Amino acid sequence: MSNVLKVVTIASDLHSLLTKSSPLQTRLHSVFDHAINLELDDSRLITLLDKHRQIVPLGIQFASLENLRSVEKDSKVIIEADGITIAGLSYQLDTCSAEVWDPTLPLSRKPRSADSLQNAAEQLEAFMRSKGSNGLTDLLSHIGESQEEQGMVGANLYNEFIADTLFDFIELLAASNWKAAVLQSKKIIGFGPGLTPACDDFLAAIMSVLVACDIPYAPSFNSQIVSMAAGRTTSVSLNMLTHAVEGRLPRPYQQLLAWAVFETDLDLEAIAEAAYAVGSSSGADFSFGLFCGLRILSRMDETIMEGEFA
Amino acid sequence: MIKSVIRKNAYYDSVTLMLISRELSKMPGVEEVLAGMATELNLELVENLKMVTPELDGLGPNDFFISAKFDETQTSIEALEKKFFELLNDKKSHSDGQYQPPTLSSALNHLPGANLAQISVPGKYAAAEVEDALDAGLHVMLFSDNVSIEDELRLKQKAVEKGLLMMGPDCGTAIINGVPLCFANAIRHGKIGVVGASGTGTQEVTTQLHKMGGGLSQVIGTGGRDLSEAIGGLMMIQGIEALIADPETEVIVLISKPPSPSVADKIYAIAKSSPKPVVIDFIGGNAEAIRAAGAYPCLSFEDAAAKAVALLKGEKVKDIDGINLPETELEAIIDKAVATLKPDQTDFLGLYTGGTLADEAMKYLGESFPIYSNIPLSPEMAIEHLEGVHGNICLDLGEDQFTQGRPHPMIDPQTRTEFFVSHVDEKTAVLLVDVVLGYGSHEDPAGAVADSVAEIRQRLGKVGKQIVVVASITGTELDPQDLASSTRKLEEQGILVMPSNAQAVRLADRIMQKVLKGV
Amino acid sequence: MAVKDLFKQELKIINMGLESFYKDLRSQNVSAVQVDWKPKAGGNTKMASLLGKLKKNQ
Repeated sequence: MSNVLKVVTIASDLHSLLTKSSPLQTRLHSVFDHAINLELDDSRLITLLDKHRQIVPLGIQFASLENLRSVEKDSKVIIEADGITIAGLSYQLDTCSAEVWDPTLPLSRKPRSADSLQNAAEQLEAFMRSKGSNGLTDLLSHIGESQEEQGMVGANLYNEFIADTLFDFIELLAASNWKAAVLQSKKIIGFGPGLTPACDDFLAAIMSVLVACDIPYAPSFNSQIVSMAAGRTTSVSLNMLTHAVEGRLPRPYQQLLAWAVFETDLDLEAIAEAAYAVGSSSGADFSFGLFCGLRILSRMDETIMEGEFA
Repeated sequence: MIKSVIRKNAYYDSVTLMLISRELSKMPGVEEVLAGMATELNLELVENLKMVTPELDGLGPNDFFISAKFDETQTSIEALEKKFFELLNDKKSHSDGQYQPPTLSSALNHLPGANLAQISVPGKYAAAEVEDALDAGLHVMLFSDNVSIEDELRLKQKAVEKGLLMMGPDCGTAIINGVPLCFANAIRHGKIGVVGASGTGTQEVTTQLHKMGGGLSQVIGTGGRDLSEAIGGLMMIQGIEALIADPETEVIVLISKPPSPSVADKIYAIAKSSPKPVVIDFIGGNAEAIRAAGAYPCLSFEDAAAKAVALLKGEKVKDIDGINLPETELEAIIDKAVATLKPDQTDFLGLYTGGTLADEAMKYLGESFPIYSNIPLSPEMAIEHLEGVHGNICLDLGEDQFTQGRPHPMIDPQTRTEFFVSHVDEKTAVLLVDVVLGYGSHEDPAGAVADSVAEIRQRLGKVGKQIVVVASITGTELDPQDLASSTRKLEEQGILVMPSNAQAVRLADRIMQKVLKGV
Repeated sequence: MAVKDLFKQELKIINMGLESFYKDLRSQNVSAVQVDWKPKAGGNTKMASLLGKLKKNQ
């Protein structure tokens, strides 16, 4: 059994962390078929992945996780720039051909015009409809351009329960009623099926669109949402939201967001398919949140944006 | 009844959670199931649905719960918990644990440098997938059939324009760069290039030339309809041109049912100008026209293979006809076989899994005596209803009428097994079958045939009768099925195993002649 | 990439449809990926053609 682990991809935030603060003492948080989470003292999670998962912030992707998965929850795992000690065994990390991926948004790119944003929203909507009923996307039948029910099977229990609350939240944001929107988010965070509850993926999309479009109140609004989230949602989701607040997303979401917000020649389909492949309905929920975010932006008035949080 | 299952501090990935929800709600007697993480709002929903139980008290967001409303006469919380446990331990298994991207575009991201798309999705969706593949610059192997002729033409024109292969629709066999695609055999590498519109015909030619010491450079499939008037031989022509340009290929073999006349002419024109020798097997086609084009016509698939090998070796090109045994030995075999039969056994039965092998049989035998078939030589010999039809019958069991809702008989021997039982009876004298090995085929087609013959011998033995069984094996010692043990299994059941389909057909004919006429 | 170029390359195959074909390729160590294929637009052909139009208009 080789004690060298080949690194395929490493997120740049993890790379800097390992370079500056090695070795890191962590506790094994959770093990899945294709991922392992390690918890740092400050509750942040480092995610070890194999090739069946796309890279995430504070993530490191190996060719295979086979040797590492037989490890006890809560056991100590030490990770540093060129090695990891897990289940009592030390492994060397071979990073020589690793890709370093930047989880932040490419904010230096040219943003789309208002018309172009609208067009992007329509394309995204068409894509979601074509994929049929999936997570929160059922709710498209309430707010989309066309009122056609094509492919949208009736709402499930979760969607029925949250629909009105979610739409109120969207209306508040569209009216730039930031304070009220923060309060409303209390009724949304942590709701829905999934390890990252559906509404959290939705919120992550909204928050990252606001940051990507450089909306002045986004940092303040987003950090309030996240402080609300502590205790209201799973630790894995809180971790995801904390990254999203600052515009750091799993790669497929990062690419989808970039497609939506910046000028591009790229084809939506492959990018959206990759996003949809994340989790069970997480990708669809994120896409729906992104769509709503784009609609919110197109309705926000310049003058109102000066308002509440001045 | 409403009950819950909880797991504290449990992290199940979302796909697993979704699976749990879905599978538990399908269980009989279950009215409603909520499964998820015990966040405040999720618990609020449970309350809203009046499904709260004491176990949910004190749970936090990192705890997992299942809350179920069910009819206690049909199921129990223990049954639900057991199913939950099973689902946790039963990993969603893809073929080898590998990621399966959901679309062509994501597949391209996942396998950069992909150069060929092998498509076998249902016919009505196939054209769209082929279009995307060609747009992405991929060559295409299209196994699907039921693609419209308009789509085939449009897509082949696109492929030709882009210099890409579009092998199909209804293309069962190809070997590119030594890789067998769909139904194809493992053949040694060499200098003979093949362009084939007929799947099992191509398999027979290629396995025969392997037996004769030849080898393959490339085998390009075209799909069954390529040489029709409407399609105009687009892929056959592109394939021939590619082989002419290919430095590895020294001899070219073409295999197809007779093309439409205008298409045949186009092919003769290319053959005439080809710097490399061309062997043309148009299964009963116009031998004179082929010779006039400077190409070599064929009497059978075996003959096509022999001619290609002779050309490669620079030997004299001969017609391979007849049976490769000294006449006295052959007569002894025939006599011995006929001696096992009773005077009232006069029927011939051919049961084929390979379509063009069945064609080869029909072409030859149909000249000899009248045979009913689903691929008849003339309309009045068509089989409409098989029940109650006696006399001489030869069936292509791979045809649509037998494969509705069933796997192809090359993949699953069950269809033919049923015919062995229903159609071999006390009047049957000779049974003729093919056994096709190679990739795509069943793991032990010879074993299936041997078992059926054993059953027949036992059944007929009870009324004091035997039958003569003749077979050939289309395969090589490199194929995944074991050729040697396949041969042995057949011979152990007293089956006369011939070296090629053509020889098996001729032997069956000689035996039937003796049975019918005493000669 | 023309046919003659294909003849010089290692085959890397995207298999869409019968999984047995994919398994046969893998058993010979051929580079291949199996697509988890579903009909476009969940079988809704009107949606599928709408999506087709979208792609071309970009």
